[in-house]
Amino acid sequence: MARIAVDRVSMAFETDNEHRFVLKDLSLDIADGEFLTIVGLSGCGKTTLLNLIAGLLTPTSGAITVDGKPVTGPGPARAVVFQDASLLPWRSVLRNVELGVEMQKRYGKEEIRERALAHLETVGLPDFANAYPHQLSGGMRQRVNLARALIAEPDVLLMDEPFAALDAHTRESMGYELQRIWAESRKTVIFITHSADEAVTLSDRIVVMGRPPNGIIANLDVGLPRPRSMEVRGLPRFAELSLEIRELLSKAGARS
Amino acid sequence: MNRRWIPRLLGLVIPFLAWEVASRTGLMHPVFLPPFSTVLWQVVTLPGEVWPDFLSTGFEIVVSLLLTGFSGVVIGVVLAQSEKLDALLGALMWFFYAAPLVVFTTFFIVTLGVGPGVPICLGIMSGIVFVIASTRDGVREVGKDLVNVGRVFGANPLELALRIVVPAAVPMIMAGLRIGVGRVLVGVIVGEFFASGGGLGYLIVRYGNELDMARVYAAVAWIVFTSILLNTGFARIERSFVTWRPV
Ligand SMILES: Nc1ncnc2c1ncn2[C@@H]1O[C@H](COP(=O)(O)OP(=O)(O)OP(=O)(O)O)[C@@H](O)[C@H]1O
Ligand SMILES: [Mg+2]
Repeated sequence: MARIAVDRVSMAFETDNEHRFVLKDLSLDIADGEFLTIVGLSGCGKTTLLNLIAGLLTPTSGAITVDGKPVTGPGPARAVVFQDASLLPWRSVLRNVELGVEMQKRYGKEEIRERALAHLETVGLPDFANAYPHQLSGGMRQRVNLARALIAEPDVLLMDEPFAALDAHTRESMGYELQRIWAESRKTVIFITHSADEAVTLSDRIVVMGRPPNGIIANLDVGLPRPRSMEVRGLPRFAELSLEIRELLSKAGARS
Repeated sequence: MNRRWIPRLLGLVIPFLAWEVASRTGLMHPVFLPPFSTVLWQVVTLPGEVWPDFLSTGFEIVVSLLLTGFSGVVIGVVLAQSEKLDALLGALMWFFYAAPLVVFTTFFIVTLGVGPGVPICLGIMSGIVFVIASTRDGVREVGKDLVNVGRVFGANPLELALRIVVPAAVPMIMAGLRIGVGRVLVGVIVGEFFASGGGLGYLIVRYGNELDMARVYAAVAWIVFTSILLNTGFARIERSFVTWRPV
């Protein structure tokens, strides 16, 4: 069963009294436990699509369903890992992670604390529980951002360029860690990136978006073995896919 | 190290000396300007003489401040939600801001009677505009991303306000409170002038009528002290409250 179904969704924004369509009749199915990555030029509507699935935006037309139920608003079942970490600066790291679950009234205080500590362990930050966001590096903040989403026990993780602001090395190691966490939890993930290599490393499937409102211009199955170690990244298939994505993007950019 | 205290000290001492001399020599009439040393003595002895008035002014200030802070923040948050509501109540706010306070005293005396209610209400009215305005602006500036964080992780509107929006606006709210504090104090004293039967403001009027100017100045001095104390106290709270920096 398709976990997420985006059915002929259009999204228009009101600008200077005119409707401008960013997405037009876009359809997309994402399977249960699938790791799907969206790549596309800046401004093509990736964040818009993700926010629609999150329920933070309402489509102009069309419908989005999760397990057959229509999305009517945001909720912790579809946790978002925000592009810039968006941590609460007045809360410690631990309390920031707790925020992910505390408003669901699912667990008691003690239990929430234990879970938060466990999730900090998962993302490799057990020693920073009492630090404040401004004391952390960009990479550490993104780990907290991820832990906050994971603690919500979502069915779907929505990740909007979570590693975009990180240096190349940190970015790569965060990618490996995400792979590991995903392999353990097998959540459905929708991931946005500008990096073709990152997309191929992480995904089961890659969707390439063209200029708005063209929507999806390619749908690529990765089909590389997991875990995607250094050796896997050395396979010819990896380089082929990465090149194909780059070519698609540059063609989409040129056709203006 | 820092030598500026010498001119600062002189800046205080010289006027007081001149004051003392002017009064002692009769250059200024001693009834209207009693010698500085006399006033200073009254400053020291006044609290012992009329401690119930100090207590009631203190009580009125505390109550007025608490109510100003609480209702100012609540109203500010509500106004931030809707441009229309803001436009509607904005005019009323400017009225409070611009109209002389004294206008309201008669109204409060009639409705509340003579007593601590009048200064408390006048204090609130004088200070609340600043708290409302800065809370409203602070809440408006809270990033969309932080609000979305709350929405995604299941906050209902009240949780959104209490856990995300108001804390994020704390720096602005504190700034508004700090400005409001001084106004509240003035409002309370003015209220006491007209309708309280007690407190420092009441004493100033009474001593004035008795031409006991030394005590008038002593009471004014205490009001100034309180104002300085509240202001520095609030500046300190503000700083300690906001140990985090926006990320
Ligand atoms: N709230 C809004 N009001 C008006 N226009 C908007 C709004 N949000 C997005 N847009 C427009 O929609 C288009 C797509 O925006 P979106 O943020 O989805 O792009 P993106 O693919 O995520 O780009 P990037 O890679 O730079 O993050 C842009 O042209 C943007 O200006
Ligand atoms: Mg984006």
